[in-house]
Amino acid sequence: MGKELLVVENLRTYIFTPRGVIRAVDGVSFTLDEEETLGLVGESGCGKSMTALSILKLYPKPQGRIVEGTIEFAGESLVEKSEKEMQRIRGKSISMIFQEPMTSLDPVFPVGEGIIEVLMVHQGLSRREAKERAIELLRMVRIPEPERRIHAYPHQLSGGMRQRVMIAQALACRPKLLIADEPTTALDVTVQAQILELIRTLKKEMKTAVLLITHDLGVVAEHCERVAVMYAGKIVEKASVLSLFARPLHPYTRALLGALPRAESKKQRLEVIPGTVPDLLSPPPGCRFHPRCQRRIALCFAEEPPLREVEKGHEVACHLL
Amino acid sequence: MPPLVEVVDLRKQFVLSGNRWGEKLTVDAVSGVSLTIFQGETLGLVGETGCGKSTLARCILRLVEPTGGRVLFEGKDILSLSLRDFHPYRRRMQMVFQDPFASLNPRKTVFAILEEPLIIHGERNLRIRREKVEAIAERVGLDVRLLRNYPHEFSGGQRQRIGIARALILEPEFVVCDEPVSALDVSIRAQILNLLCDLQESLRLSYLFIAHDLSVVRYISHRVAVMYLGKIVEIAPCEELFANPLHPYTRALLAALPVPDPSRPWKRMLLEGDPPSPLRPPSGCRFHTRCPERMDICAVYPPGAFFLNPEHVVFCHLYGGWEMV
Repeated sequence: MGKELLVVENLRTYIFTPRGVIRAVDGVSFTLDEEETLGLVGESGCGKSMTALSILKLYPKPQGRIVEGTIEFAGESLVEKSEKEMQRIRGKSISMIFQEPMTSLDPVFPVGEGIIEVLMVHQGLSRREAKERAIELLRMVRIPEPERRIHAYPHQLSGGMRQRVMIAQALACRPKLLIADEPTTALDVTVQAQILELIRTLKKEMKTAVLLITHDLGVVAEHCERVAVMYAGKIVEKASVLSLFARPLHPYTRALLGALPRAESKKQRLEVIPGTVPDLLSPPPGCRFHPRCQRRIALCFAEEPPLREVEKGHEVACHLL
Repeated sequence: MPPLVEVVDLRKQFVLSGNRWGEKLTVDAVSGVSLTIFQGETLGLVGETGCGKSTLARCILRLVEPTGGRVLFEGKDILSLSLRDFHPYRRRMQMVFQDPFASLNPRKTVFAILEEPLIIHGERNLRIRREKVEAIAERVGLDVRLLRNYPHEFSGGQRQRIGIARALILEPEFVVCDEPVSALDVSIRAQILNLLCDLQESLRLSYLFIAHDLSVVRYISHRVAVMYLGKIVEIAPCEELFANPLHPYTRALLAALPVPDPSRPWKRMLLEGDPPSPLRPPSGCRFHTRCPERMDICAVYPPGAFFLNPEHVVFCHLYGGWEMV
């Protein structure tokens, strides 16, 4: 593939609350090549969204802070950038789309305004040029009658249409990286398929890299090239999609795949992961998965397993391997 | 064996506020649904947001009053009963809700939540109530020592167990599960699905299991009904529906389901557009605006039932059967 676009090294984003320190992202490292799609999967509260927000420095402030680590994007370090410099990057070279398109569009402005604003700010277009370009963009995301819809307010559009507008806005400046945080979770299956397909085609046309955050392993299998599995603020397994689904190595990944109801497992019992996701205010010592792991050994209680490459391109953080 | 629950041509029309010319806007949330559920069976009900599946479930339980049709429970038409006569039936049909955060009263302890149905149904003896609450809590895997706690002290999965315990404490025969695992994470979802299966086996329960996630429905159901804009479009035994879907909408739903297997060959059958508004449902077959195989007749006449076999029925003009208006 292409060369490395995004390099995240040992990222730690903590949130300081009156109740203590939430270690939302705790030593996460990954790379993303140009034009690649990387899936970041995990259950709620595992820190996958916070990882994405850290890249754009959109974590809650002042409670949240990157306490350690580096984020390098196209050769530039993002951690040291000032807020002003970040504003020039957001929406231009890195864009993000969010889960709930109703709450991420401003309800008091027509949907076209957001796109026009992005184009005027980042590309210095005049209002008229920006409007023409915005109509083109809406057409690109297959919104019917874009000349009319550009004046519609968010509440007048369906969920799928709103997510299309978000995508048009995010891709307006042809970013090098698109971060999609659960882009289809709020949508129906048939609409989800449309939106994912749209992201896939536009990504190819625009040569954009995508960081796709999701909890749905099916979406990962169909749309990503590589995948990182997160658990309690850490990446526990990283591999190409083919290799992860063919040979999941971490007990957590294996359990997640086992917990999915599938055609062939009909009327067999689903595999269960006992217990619940740990509280990141006081994560368990050692391997964070050990309280729920079926195969734990004494070492798991004491020592945190590092992420090690066990096969080419397949990394796992587990003492058993 | 006669079915435990039989729904015949059930209809529910909601009247919205009139517009300024005094015309009333109505939504046909459920328009003419017929289905049966046998004892010990799970009927899966799938469909997209706003297709009326929750309204259908609530109509069957009389939580909202249907505007037409019949619901037979053990052959008895429960819609014709007065509320007083219907009361004893309530304990035989119960419901588990989707959102384990919104469906439990935050100001009551778990014990109070679980004993309330017993009080309503006339159990005056506290000792018996306590025994029953503890028995059901144990059965669904809740720690009996935590019964004095409040719902917010429990995780999502535990709360869903409370919801299930509340539904089962009256020993119902029929339970409607309205998206009971949609709000839960994958690992927790498996726990709840296993629990529902176990309970069905040991208590001979019948489920109407509503979900939008086809893989979950496939796992738990014996038969599956597919709903689109207030109408059933296909009903079939579970494996048959997945192996041989007849209705174009069922096929599209199956094709849209992301499958966790990257080595599988790439398939796509994308539907165009969004589901239409139930305020103005399309004429004829309600799916014709998005159907990849529509014909001229589809916009004019609603399709009638076509039976591939006695168990597998589809409502689509592709198969010939049609209904005169």
